[in-house]
Amino acid sequence: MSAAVEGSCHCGAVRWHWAGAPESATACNCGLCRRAAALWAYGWEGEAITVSGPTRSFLRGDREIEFHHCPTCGGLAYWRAVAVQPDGRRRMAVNLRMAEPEAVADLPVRHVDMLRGEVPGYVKGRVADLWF
Amino acid sequence: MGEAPALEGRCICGGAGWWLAERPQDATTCNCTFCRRFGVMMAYAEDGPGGTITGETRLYLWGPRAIALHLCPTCGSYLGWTEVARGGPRRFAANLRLALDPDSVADIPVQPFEGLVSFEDLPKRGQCLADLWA
Ligand SMILES: [Zn+2]
Ligand SMILES: [Zn+2]
Repeated sequence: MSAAVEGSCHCGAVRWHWAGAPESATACNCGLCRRAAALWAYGWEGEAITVSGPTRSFLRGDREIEFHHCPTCGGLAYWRAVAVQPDGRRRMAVNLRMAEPEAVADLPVRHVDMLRGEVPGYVKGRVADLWF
Repeated sequence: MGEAPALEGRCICGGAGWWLAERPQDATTCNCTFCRRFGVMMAYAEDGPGGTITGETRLYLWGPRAIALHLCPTCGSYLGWTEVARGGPRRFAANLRLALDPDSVADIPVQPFEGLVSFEDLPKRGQCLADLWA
């Protein structure tokens, strides 16, 4: 059995699949991530990350990243870079809030203080500490 | 709203929001299958005098359908819920994640609610909202 983590929005229409196990979850305090309570796992499209289902998307202010949510239940499932890298790979991240709690509870959390420009941030605690 | 609201919130895209007439005593977090996906932090009030959800929203109904969940049709943000119409006053809930100024809600105490099995408040853990976000 190969390890994987699955995520889906509440109504189940939008899904992501992470082949393997993410190393950490990133929690950011920017206005977008705070409002969505996002916990991101960064990867590459078609490598660790595959997604399915109809989404609605919007571009972040810098127009470099599109955020995809379910048009029915609103769940913010993943983001996707608009541009591909020179090597042809495309950056993506999935929102670990869409996963079953047990699958992600022990992941370490990287805290990014985007408001004060402190990136890449620091690691503290586990996903379970922020869950509810 | 006559006087200025105590708190205001706005979705990611700014198209919808909420206001609360009074600052809540605490905010409920919940582990049900919907709430956990949005990491919600809910404040309750009477819809109308106590505050309300503003702007264009789309409703999402599930389960017993006693409440309608309000989503922004553009950005998907979860604003909160309103009790589905019946006689008398309606309750509403505002998702404090969307507060315009996070510092204005940072020290509100967390009231965890077990929304999956037992449907009851859990003991408070001495946490405030700032402890649950980045
Ligand atoms: Zn959905
Ligand atoms: Zn919006």
